[in-house]
Amino acid sequence: MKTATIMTVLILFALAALLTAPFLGITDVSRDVIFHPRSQSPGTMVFWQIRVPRVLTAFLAGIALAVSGMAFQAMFRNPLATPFTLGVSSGASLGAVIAMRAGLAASIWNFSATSGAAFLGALMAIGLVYGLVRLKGQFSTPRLLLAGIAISFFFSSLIMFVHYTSDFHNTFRLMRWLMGGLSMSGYDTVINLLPFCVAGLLIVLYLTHELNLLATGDELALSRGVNVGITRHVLFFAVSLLVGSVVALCGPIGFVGMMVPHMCRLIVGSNHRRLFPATLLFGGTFLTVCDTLARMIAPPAEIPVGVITALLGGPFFLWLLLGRSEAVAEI
Amino acid sequence: MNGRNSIAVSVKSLSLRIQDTVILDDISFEVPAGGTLSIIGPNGAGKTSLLRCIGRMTEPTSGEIRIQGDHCRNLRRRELARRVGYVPQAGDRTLPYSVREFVLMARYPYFHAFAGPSRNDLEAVDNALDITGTDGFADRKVATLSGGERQKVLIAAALAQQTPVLLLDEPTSFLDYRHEVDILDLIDRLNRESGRTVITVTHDLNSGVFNAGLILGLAGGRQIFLGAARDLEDPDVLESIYGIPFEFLKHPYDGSPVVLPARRSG
Repeated sequence: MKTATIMTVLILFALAALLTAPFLGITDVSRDVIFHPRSQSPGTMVFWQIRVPRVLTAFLAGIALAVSGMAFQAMFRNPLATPFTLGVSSGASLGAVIAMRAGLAASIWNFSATSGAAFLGALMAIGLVYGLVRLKGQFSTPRLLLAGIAISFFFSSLIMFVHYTSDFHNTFRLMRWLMGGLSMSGYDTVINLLPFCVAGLLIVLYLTHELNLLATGDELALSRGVNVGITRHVLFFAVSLLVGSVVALCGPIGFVGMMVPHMCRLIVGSNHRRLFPATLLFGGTFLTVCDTLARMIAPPAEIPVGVITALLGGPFFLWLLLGRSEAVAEI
Repeated sequence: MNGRNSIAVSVKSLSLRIQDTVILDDISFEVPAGGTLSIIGPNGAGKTSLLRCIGRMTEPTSGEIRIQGDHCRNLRRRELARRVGYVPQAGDRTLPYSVREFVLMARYPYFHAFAGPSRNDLEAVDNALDITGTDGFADRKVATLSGGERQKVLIAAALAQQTPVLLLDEPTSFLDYRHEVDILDLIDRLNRESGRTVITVTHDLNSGVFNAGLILGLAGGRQIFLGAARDLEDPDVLESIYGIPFEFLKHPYDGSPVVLPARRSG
């Protein structure tokens, strides 16, 4: 299939998801609500005040998670190496949990301290994992994955410690948040997410040529003139922005960054000039669909969307690990 | 100043240590523009490390490297990549792109962010594919190619970089005879016809070493031999590099030397 066709299909899917998702849910919403956004009817309120911001949040978060996964997979040349598996999400969660526990309600220009803390946590996790791997000579992917798992566990136990010191009400709140959900999203979530995501995405877009070469290995990238060290640090920064902002607002939603870019790679190939737009479109669509399922699967309850992505992601991880050995080697 | 640019690569007192292990120890040589250098030596002699230092994929511990008169470490990476092309050992590296895509990516030092490839880029790619004879499978995935084809693709990519200096690491190892001859001919042509300076690492003395303008013999990271091919036609010199005796034969057609490692038990 030609790239233009694939992109058109992905755009149509994205539009379809964005346009239908707000109408789906437990409360029936008639089509008229679009034209009467100021009406006080329950349907209108549900549609404009709850579902539209939630769908926008899901779409944006899906984009951010998928693109950061794509960047990590290329940089570390392995589809299993994503911000979630390498402990970056745990680092962001720890930062966010500490900020919430400490009651850091401070905000600068409306941006919550939680987002900042999550960003710093993410950056710290990347620094730790990458530093640990580089500590002892040559870089190796298995060591990277193991270091990521170790850091994940370590941060998870710190998160549990913070839990333990919290009162019952806070523990419940933190617990629900850690499952990764979008149920609390409003327009302020979208506004909080947007600048971080746009900045992170622009950086990754600026570095698509570099990502292409990093995926061929450091040696070739260097010999083609890529400043590998700086590029990698800038990408760490961008991924921390993306993952930190999503985790702060929606909790650690796992596996999107693993599944989406890898599926896109199977369809459009590994060239990031095509892979970036495909991952962006499919990432947004994917999380929107998952969240719509999460809202509808067990009415009247809403499952956290992180549960759905993890249920899909676990088997996907195993499939990558066991089924297609050449896929693991070949990013 | 006048003669300076006629030296393509100059290496002075180059040393490389990695965690207390001496990899390269006090290496010095000069390769004139348009000249060839063969770096020979046993496994672990530091041949690849030397090549990587010249292409600045490894930072040397001390010493200086000049490319066309300029200090290597003062050049911006992109500028260096417009002067020095590198062909790594083919090995089984995973390159998830089509041949044409991969070769085009080598135009990186000429790219602008956000923008697509220019007409120059596309011409350079077509040219490189044509010269290396890889245009026949330009749309196949690199991963599906044989070792010889892959080696040609790696060379094509370095050619698309359009550099006056070319570094090749064991370009003919693990190849069958036809591909070996193809690639040796290709490297010859690149040197003779387009005047590129070619530095080749090899452990096979019979793959063109004796045709090289200059030969550098390494052992244990130290420079054992530097000179012309005729000075290498000495069993003692070869033995000091490889640690085993050699027999010299004459090529039946052109009279060039052919060497055979002598079996001690024989």
